[in-house]
This record gives sequence, C-alpha cells and structure tokens, in this order.
Amino acid sequence: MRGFSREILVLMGAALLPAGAAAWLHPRSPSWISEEVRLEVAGQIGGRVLWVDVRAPEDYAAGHIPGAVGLHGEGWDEGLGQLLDQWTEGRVVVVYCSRRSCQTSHLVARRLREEVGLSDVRVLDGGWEAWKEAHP
Amino acid sequence: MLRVVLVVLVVGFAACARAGFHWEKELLCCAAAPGTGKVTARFAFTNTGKTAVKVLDLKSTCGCTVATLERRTFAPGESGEVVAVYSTAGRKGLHEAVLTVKTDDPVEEETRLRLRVLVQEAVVAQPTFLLWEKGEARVSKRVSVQVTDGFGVKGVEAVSATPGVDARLVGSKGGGAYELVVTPGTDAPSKAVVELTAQVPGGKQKPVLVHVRVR
Repeated sequence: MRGFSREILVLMGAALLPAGAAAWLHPRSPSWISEEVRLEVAGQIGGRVLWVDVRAPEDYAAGHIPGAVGLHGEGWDEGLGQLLDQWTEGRVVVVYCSRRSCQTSHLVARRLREEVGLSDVRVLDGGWEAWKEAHP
Repeated sequence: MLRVVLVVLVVGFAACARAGFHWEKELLCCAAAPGTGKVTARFAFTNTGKTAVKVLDLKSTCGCTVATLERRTFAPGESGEVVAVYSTAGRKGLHEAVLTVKTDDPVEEETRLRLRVLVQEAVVAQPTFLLWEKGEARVSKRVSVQVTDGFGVKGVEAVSATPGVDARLVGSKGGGAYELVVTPGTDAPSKAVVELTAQVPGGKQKPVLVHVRVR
C-alpha cells in the first residue's frame, strides 16, 4: 500500500512538471484564440462588436440581436455592403446562426476573413439560442 | 464463453431483423458550376424491416436546403427517397447541409443525412473589400483575381460604375491570374462597387463585387 501511494505521488509529480511549464509559458489565454466566443465575453467587448446574423431571412425578420446585419445566401452582396458600411479596424465581427445550423456561421466567418479580408471575425458559441436564453 | 458469444450473436441478429430504413448513402457530394441556382440530391432508402416505418419529422439544419418526402409511411420492402434541394445563391466553396430524419422505428429513430456541395466560381477575387481610412493617401490598392480552370473563361472585365473610382484590370502573363487596380480620386464618393465579370461560353456570369469604402 505504501509502495502504491509512493507511485501515485511520483506520477502526480511528473504530471505537475509539464503542467507548471505550460502555465508559465502560456499564461491564461483569452477566448479569442478559438474562433468561437461566448456571449458573456462578447458582452465585455461592448460597442466594438458587429453582430452578423446568417440565419434564413424569415428567422432574421422574426427576431435578431439588436443591430445585427442579416447576411443570407441570396442577399449576400446587399448584406455585405451593409456590414462594410459599419465596419472599421478594431471592430470585432461576431457571426451567429441557429444552434442547429452552426456550420453556416463558421463558413461565413471564414469567408469574411479570407475572401473579404476582415481582420477579426468570430462565431457566437451557442448561436441565436444562447442570446435568447440570456435575454428572455 | 461460448454461451456468451452465442447470446451476443442472437441479440445482434435480432436487432438487425428489426432494422427499418436502409439508406443507399447517407453522404452525398455535388459540385455546382457557376450560375447554378440550385442543386438537387436524392437520398434513396428501403424499409428492410418487418413492420411499417413512419417518418415523423424531416428537417434541415441549414436554411439553404429544402428537404421533401413524397409520403410518410413505408411498408416493409417499400422504397422511397428524400429529395434535398440546395440553393447556391451567395455561397462559395465547400458547404455541408445536414438533414435529420426522425422515424417511429425503435431501433434507429434518427438518421442524419449529409449533403456536401462545392460551389465554384469562374472568377475568384481576394480581397473583395478595399478601404481607405480618413486621411489615408488615395494610392492604388490591388485585388488578386484568379480564373478557375475548367469553365472555359474567355476573358474577365472590370467595371467601376461609380464616377471618381478608377478600376483597371491588369492582364495576366498566363495561368488566368490578373490584378485589379483600384484608385479613388479626390472626388470619390464614400461608397463604390467594382464589378468583375467573367465571359464564359453561353454568356456572362453574375459579377463578383469588390466593395470600396473611402472614409
């Protein structure tokens, strides 16, 4: 039993070494490292966030995050024009869709970064549903 | 040990005997040529079970795809297909739509079908947004324009419909690569669009827009 406890301690110690090194080399990272951003983090950014809604037009019309620009398949050019009217360097674009179709938001985010050339584009973790739950 | 194996085999085969829909393919891939408005894919299935199966719900995770089924109940041995129509409008690159089929089959209540569509454009421009900030010198900025192989593009033209914004397409030395040079004049408006249009057999493609903002 004593030998077993010693082995446990040795293993824990061995795990602590790389964990400590990682914490020292990589201090607490902001959630921006991942493409996805939680609603509360986006809220901390405040007025610098530019919301982009990529759900179907009828869903957007039924309700959307205040100020969000609708960027739908068929209305891409018009929606992009509206987005670019508001965009300035330093603003953070956060794309959201329905939790059920979050693949679309990732694809649009990539397109805004790579094709359009916007510097900081993220995807809302949990989509429209996350907003609705936080703002009943 | 042998008894355990036999029990597992019996239970396993029993489960198979009760299986409902057998899908020919649960993943379909399509490529959409320039100007294609919609892509249609068909997910064929057969009820291989011993009892009728009723489709309770059919949904797409993406507003870009509409899925339909001619009827909802399929007797043993009957076949059907889920028809998925994907709209390519405003989309580029590789996309995936997921269709969820819910049935009353107790063995497999839900099936997720995937439709992957590669939407190709005859001409690709990058970036499609040029910005001159307030106070920034009105020097030319460039957009890389690349013709996609395989579409028989005969030529590309660039048109700035906005007075005060000059747009010139600099020809490629080969390989279908161009440069669009955009220069806002002193009287340029704050907002403009340059249209890049590819000439393909059969006419012209819907233009690729380069958005210009001068603040």
